[in-house]
Amino acid sequence: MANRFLRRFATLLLSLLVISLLSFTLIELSPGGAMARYVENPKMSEADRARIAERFGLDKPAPVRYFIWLRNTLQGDLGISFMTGRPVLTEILERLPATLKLMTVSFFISIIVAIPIGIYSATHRHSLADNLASACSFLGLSLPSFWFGLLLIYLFSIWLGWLPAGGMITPWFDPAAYPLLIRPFVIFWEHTRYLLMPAIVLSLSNISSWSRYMRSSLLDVISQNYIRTARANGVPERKVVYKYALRNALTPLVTLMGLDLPVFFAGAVVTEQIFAWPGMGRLFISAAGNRDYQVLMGITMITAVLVLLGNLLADLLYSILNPRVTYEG
Amino acid sequence: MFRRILALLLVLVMVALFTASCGQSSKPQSAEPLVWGMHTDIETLNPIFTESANEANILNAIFSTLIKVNDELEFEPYLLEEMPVVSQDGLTYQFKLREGIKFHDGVELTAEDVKFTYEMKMAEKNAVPSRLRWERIANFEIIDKYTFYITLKEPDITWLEGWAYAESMIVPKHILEAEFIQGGNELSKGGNFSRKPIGSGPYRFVEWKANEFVMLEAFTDYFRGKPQIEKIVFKVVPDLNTMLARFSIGEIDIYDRAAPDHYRQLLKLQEDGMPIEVHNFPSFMSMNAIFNMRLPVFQDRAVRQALNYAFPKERFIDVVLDGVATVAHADTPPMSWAYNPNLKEYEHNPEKAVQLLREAGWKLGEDGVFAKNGVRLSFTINTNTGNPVREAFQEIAKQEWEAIGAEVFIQNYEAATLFGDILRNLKFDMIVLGSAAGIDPDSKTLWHSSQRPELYGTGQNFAGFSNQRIDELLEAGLKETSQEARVAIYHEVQQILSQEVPYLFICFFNSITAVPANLENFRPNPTLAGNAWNIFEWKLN
Repeated sequence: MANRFLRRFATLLLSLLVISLLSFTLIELSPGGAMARYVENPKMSEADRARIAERFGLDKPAPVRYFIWLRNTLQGDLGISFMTGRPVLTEILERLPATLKLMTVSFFISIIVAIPIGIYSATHRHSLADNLASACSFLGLSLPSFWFGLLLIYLFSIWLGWLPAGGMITPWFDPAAYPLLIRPFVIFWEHTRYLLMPAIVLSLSNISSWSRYMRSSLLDVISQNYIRTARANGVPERKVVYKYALRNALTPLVTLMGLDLPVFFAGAVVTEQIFAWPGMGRLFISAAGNRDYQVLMGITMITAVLVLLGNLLADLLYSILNPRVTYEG
Repeated sequence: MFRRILALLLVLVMVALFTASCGQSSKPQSAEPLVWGMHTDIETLNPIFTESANEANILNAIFSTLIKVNDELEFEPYLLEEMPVVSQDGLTYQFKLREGIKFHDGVELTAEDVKFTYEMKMAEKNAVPSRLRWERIANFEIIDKYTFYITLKEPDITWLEGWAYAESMIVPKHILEAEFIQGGNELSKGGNFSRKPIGSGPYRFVEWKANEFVMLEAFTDYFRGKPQIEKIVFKVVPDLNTMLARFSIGEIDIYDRAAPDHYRQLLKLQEDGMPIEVHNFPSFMSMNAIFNMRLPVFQDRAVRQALNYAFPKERFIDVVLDGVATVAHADTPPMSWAYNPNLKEYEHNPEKAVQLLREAGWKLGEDGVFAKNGVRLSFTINTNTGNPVREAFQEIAKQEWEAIGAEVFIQNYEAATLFGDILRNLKFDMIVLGSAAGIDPDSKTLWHSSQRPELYGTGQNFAGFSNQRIDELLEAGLKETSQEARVAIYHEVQQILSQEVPYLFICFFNSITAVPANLENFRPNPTLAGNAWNIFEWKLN
């Protein structure tokens, strides 16, 4: 087991190396380059451009820059952002809490809504509600999030005036202005009202696909022999569904959710843009637009590490949880 | 028992929410800050490194410049007692600072700080975007605490203007010197100071949350008296449709540099009774299509003129820009003192375009496209993706030009590719860009033949324009000190440009900014100083 684990770990390191090389090459191949933003500036001389290129090490050939980047990264230094002049890690850590907050909440909304819909659809197959749920999930999958986001803003911010149209918190929000007794509720509401709309927009496609998945997976299980046996033995229908079927039906859904997890870190570009949410998606987009390869590499590599570690962990857990699965290194 | 506790909790929550909402609405109006919406993120608040218009607006509130350029485009002293005195030979400027100006930490601003700002701009291997105007300084001499002389290497009539903009704001020596020494004699664009700036302007820095907002509060010891508005928040709203929505419900108070297609909707809000004022004012921003004159097809002046005649500039402005722009005939905007109102104009006239081409020896081929000596009138128009105004230009131009016998393709790239590759490496036939003029009409980097990038890798003469008379005029214009003589020089420059049309000059944009109706002293400023230039005078009634 330990041997296998070591072998697996070595593959992981090798994958990371390959990923970093590929990403760096891709960024390098995209035309324009990090100095593109200065081309049109009439106030800059060629000497100005050369000085800045030298300052950020952009005057060196790409392979050299890759090895410098690799050496620094191995020492835990992800480099400096060309946009802000600050360490890449600082930039990432500053956006991470906002992204995690939004992603976690939308993840839970998705689970809470998708699973009951899926169960209901499966147990009331071809009923009106099931057909409606099908139609809604197709709609949900095909609605572009910028459009749905603007729709929510028009509905809840402009027309009803219930929720703020963007941002993460009121900049001048001061909990001390409220009596101690209600302060926790005020703080809770202050965070919730900004969070609701972007979280709903993000959940929409998850709810749509997960509820369909839940439905078909549960139908699969229900048609199996042991369920028929349970029913034949007179086990009440509720118990059949919730105790015997649901548990087995959830396994593939959990795998699907696990695959969606890396998105947590990467953020949601469009939704963050519409709702002015200060998360990783915005950082990534402006880094891509400015060809800030240090930031791009930083985000890509951290995401890659999370995905690979997540997979490794999932495999290990799976073999522990399910004795029938033997772990192959 | 459990139910009882639950019920009690629910009641508590309801009471809490109710009182919370009451608490919010009973807050005095004056405690609400003024919220300025900006649609791009900022990178630094250290004026040494700044390069964006958004940052300039915030920096105007935190820092001070030696002089200001007002909304009438006149210079006035700001940190200075009076406008600097220039010596006879045009080389030495004598500056005198006002006494008793304080930084936000209470330390007085002196000539030492000005000199330090200059030294930081020129510090070795830093990331300052442009040092052109700082490199012109030959000597900086401090006479006393408030007086200093600056001597230039050679006379330059345009040099003083730069002191009015964000890049020349004065930073505190006593704070930054430590950061400079600590950084190995190098300041970083992302250093401590850039995230926690200390200036001498009307507002103190309070908080900056990346991609979210910057909050400032009134500085009590500001040298022109504490400003009346207590707090100002600059909020990032990256999506312009959301910006308009948030402006319409009062989440954003100032919608600066609004999208042209939002102008009518803003007016509608005003008509519907929203207490706002929509400012519509000429700007120094223009939109042009650059001919690549290195290509045989565009070497012929007749072709460039014919394409000018065949493009309906006025209809474009009406339809695409809601009419909030002015037709351009050359590079200098109408509000400039050097503007020449009597230029060759190209009214929309497709017949004349065809006639011009025929006279120049172009013949309509069997494929319906003009050709001359084996060169077909066929080319591609490039611009950056995601710019609806420029894309609309391309569509209209393609339609109109194909109607007179040209073959036109459209190919767009994302900004970094367009600027970093297509423009920089001169890979275009025709490229649509915006450009910003300065107050001074000098345009040497655009038109002088030495400024063609393929020669020395320097300059913005992307058209590849080369004209001996223009070269002479532009050089003379920089040496001449009398404004009258300069007017004559730049009138002739514009005359030649409108004849030779190295660009298809399309239009000068108007800027649109919507503000609360009760915001007093908001006077939009079309220069690089930006609309926050006099933020210290603003009042809310």
